[in-house]
Amino acid sequence: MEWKQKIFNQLQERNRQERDVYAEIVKHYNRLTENYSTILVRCTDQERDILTLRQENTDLQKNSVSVAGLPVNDKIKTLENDYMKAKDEILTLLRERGDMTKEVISLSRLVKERDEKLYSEQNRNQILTKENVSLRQRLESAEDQLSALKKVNETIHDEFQALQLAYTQLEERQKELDATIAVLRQRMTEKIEKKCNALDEEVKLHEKRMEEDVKRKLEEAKSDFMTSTLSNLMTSTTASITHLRNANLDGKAHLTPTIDFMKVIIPKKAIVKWDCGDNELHAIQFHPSGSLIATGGSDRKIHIWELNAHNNQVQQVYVLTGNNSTVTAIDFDNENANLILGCSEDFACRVWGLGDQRLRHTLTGHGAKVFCAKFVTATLIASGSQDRTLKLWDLQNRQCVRTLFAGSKCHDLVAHDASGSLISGHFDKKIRFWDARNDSTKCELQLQAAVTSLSINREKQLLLACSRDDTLKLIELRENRVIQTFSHDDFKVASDTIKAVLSPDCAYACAGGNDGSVFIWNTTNGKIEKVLNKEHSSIVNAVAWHPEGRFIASCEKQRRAILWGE
Amino acid sequence: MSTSSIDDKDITRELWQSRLPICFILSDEDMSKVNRSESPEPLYLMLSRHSYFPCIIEKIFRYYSTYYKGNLNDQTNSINLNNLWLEYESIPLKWHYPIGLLYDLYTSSLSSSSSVSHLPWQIIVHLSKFPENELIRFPDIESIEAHYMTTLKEADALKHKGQIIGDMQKRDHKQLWNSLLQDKYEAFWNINIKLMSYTDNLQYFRYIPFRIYILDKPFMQKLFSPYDIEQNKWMTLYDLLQYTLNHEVQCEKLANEKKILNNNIENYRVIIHGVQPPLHSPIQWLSEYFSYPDNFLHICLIENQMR
Repeated sequence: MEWKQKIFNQLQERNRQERDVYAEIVKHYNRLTENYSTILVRCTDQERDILTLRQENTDLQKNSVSVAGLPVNDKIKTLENDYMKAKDEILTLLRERGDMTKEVISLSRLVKERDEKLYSEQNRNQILTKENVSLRQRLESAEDQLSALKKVNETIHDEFQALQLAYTQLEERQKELDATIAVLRQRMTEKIEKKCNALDEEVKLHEKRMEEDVKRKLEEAKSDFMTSTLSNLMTSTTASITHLRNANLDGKAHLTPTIDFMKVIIPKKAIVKWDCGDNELHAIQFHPSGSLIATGGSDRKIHIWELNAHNNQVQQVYVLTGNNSTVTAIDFDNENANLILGCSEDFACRVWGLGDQRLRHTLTGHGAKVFCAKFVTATLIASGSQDRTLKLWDLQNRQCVRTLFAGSKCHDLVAHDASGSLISGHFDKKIRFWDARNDSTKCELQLQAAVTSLSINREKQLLLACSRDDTLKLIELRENRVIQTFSHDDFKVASDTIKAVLSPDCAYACAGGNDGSVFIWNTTNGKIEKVLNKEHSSIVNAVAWHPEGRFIASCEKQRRAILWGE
Repeated sequence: MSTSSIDDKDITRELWQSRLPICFILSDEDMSKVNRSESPEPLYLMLSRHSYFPCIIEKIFRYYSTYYKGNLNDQTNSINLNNLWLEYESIPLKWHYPIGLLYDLYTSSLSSSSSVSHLPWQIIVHLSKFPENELIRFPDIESIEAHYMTTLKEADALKHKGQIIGDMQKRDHKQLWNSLLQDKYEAFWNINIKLMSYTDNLQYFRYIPFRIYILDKPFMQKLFSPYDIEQNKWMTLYDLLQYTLNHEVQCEKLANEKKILNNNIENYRVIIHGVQPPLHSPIQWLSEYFSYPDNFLHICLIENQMR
């Protein structure tokens, strides 16, 4: 490739000639021109400066020409003097300036101290004002409290005074009332005394009359005994007998002659059947006169029926209300025959007057159902209840005077004597004999089953107890010994309150069974005398014997009462 | 054509490091208008042969404008950049020719064989009396860049039907121009090497981009292939010149020109880049490694003077 080599050589030669020779020279030349131009610039600047300086110089020379009056030396001296004076002035001024700065420093320090004091004083002031405010507030609140308390004190004072006045008034009233009470009491006692005296006199008169009457009649009766009808005798004698009975029951337990002037018969058939009340019948009782029958049951009322002996009809006379629950037992008082006692399951016994049918007394105090209640005297009632107590109530004070704790439910009780000694039959198979003087049992008799009812004869020698073992027991009271037991195959004691009664002459015992039959036993030999059945359809709850012995009244659970007779 | 790469790189590097010393002298009539007591000194610059005058016109302008200011601190210029034009031996210099081309064309023809005594190249700077008929006013730097790109695309159109330049990205074009401005050889040849590749399964360019300059005549540009397929031989520089001159003469004859071109190559000196390459050098190689940065072979034909 010699052409290429030739080209290359030519290029190198060219470059050498054109570039290498002149490169350095041109570079240096350019640098020289640059330097030259900068020097030119500086030169022009300096020329300008020189011009200005020359101008100033000429100006100064012009100025100095005006001062040229003085020769130059003097000029210089005056200038020097001026200069010295100026220097001295400067020195003094500087010294003064130093002093003033010192003063300034001290003054500023003082000012700072004063400021601090002022600041602390302000703080104290603030604190004190705050305390002042708070104290004022407390003072206000204390004053408010004080005024409130004063008011309260005043009101209390006023109230106290008013109460005091009222108290004094009441005291006076009380004194007055006491006085009146005393007066009234005195009057009452006087009246009662009078009444008692009057009664006593009456009784005595009556007794005398009766004695004479009786003697007369006895003689008549002896002669007419076999011929005249019994009923006539009964009617004529029952009245006399009641009077006699009444005369006998004057509070003494003594054995009266056993001659009965009534004729106790065994009924053969049902004479009257009637429905009384709306529900179950629990109690039935004859009035001591025998003309009234009282029934009580679960309708809470005691119905009084009049027995017309001539045509054997029973009519309702009136109804005694007041009980709040089922009537469990009824008793008539035997002395005056104008009070009726009913005890019910509402834990209370009530006494009504028969004449006016008014509820006289309500005896509350038992804690459970009252199962039985009897008049001990006309003013003393004994009641026994499910709450295992017996209570004696005084009708004059209307208070319970004694509470006997039996320990078991009392199903029935009888009054042994007028002083308050009782016999009670209980659920725990015991018959308890209570003493009148103390609250403990005199004696206890154990039976085989729970005692449902008790019945005592007029002479208070024999006690009939009906017990749940389907038997009746006859107990002799002198030795407290069971002398007879009555039972029958069909006789079943259905509940705890089945009542059994002795006949007025104690010849017979009667009880009702659970199948509706009424059983009559002979007390002397213990045999069943009569079974009256087919009339009652349910349990016979209670039976009662007519005081003259002619009728038996029985009531059953299904509100039917039947009068049995000849 | 396989050539030893060492030599090629050396040649291209030597080409890139070409410098011309140029001396810019202010014209006489402009010298009289200088506003200063001292007259401006001539401006000496070392310019690369493949650069263009508008690239350094700012420098020239700034240098001379200082002499026209009222005082040195005045920032305004009393002379107009648009009126500036360059002249050599009363020839106004065209600004879109590379500097090396202008030097070769004008200095070589005006003297005898050696062109040494013309260095530094003295150019006269005119600041007034712009020759409207002969020159276009100096443009700004973007116009020069556009002209350069246009020339480059034309070259690639001849060589590769414009495929390669079209595939290149805009920043590669920018890199070419910027490395030309900042005189960066490696950056330039990184991109330029792509433009020297072959397409269409050819081992040569389709046509050689070249221009032949003769004094006082417009340049000649013909379609010339570097390889003769029929004769199966590589074309040389001589072949190119022969072909071009003959073709031109024919055109002149057809046009009934009065003065016909001398198409005897013996009468001319062939100068490219200031050197005379052997006439039997392959034209393909010349186009690849001996082109100007705008990928054209600018060939000057200087008539031999009758001694």
